[in-house]
Amino acid sequence: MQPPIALDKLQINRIKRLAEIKRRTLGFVGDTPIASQIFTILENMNILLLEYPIKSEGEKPAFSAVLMYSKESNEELIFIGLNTADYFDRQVFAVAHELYHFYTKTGSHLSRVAEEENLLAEAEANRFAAEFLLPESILEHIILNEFKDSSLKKVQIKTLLRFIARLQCTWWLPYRSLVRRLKEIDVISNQQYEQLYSINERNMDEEYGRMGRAINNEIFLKLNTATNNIGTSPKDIEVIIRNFEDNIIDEDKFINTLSLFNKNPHDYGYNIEVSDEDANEFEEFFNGEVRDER
Amino acid sequence: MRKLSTAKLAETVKLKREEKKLTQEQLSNLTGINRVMIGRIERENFIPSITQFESLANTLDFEITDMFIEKQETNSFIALRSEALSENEKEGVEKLFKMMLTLRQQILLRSKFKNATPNRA
Repeated sequence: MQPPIALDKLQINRIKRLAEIKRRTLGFVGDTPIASQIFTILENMNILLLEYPIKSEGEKPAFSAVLMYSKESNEELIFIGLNTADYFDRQVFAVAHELYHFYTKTGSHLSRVAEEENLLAEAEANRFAAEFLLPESILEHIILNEFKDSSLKKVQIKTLLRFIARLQCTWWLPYRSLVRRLKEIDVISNQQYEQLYSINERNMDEEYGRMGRAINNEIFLKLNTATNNIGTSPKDIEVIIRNFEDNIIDEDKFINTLSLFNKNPHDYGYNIEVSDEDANEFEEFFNGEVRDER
Repeated sequence: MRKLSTAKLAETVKLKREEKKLTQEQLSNLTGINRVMIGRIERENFIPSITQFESLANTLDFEITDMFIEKQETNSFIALRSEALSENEKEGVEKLFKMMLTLRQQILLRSKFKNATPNRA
């Protein structure tokens, strides 16, 4: 892997400022973590979230998220497609990353976790994601408050690991992003950075995994699990159900549309029988429809 | 370049027909298009001939040209498809696109319905 592209002071300043403005606009002032609220933010911003698990092949990381725009009849819809085969903390990070592309209008975008680090826009988006989820000024404040020092260069590794695990459970950033943040703001040494970066943070039976679980079992396990969700937000599913209730779509379309989002009418109190033959026919119809729209 | 949107045609035919309180059968009689074909147009799996198109537009009172959309509008999705993706990823991305297009269709149907019947929205 190539070393990440280094952003200059001006670029970093611009990103920090943007993250600060956006956090404030969304109502996150001071040391309030965004964490689980990231999905509510999307909903409030009318960005439609689509979740689908896409496993990676071999060493190459699968894409993490995609930002998509659609404009028809003067109505612009914005979607974020999220790869849920990724660890949950990386999903949170990927959403924040895509928000950068949305805010800066760098266009529709598909992001990978590691490969595109050498691209400037990607490095900026990653920096924004980190800054948006945990602003540098707050991180510095936490460090100073807890260690009574702005440097952690003399702190032993175990203490650092516990500190990072606590940060992770509160701010929902991936372990490696947190380690990188500490290095970026120069509070840990190169040696500490390499030592921290080399551990296997995803193994729940190893030192860091055990620490994380001891600190907040529920959250820590959640962050380290691939959710493999398929679907969209309940608000968007509601549109489909209402369309059926108002006779805008028929039963078959209702069944097929819901199934695409891993749901069925029965989940919402409707029992509709459909024959296998009909199901096949509608499946074909669906495939045809997608081709027409391209 | 503009292209025919079967989704838009389907939505328009269904909404206009209902606005005029016509059954598929009645529309069939008025336009001379087989009732089954009208059903298929409304389900986006039949593209009418030019003559049928004209007849539909005249009877239901819509502009044929409005059924065409700028192909460019979906370019952003197409661009994504060309990125270097593994087979597995391509399949997943296709699925996400399908979800996106389907949800988009549901939202557009909903907003047209709301505009058509503001008192029920």
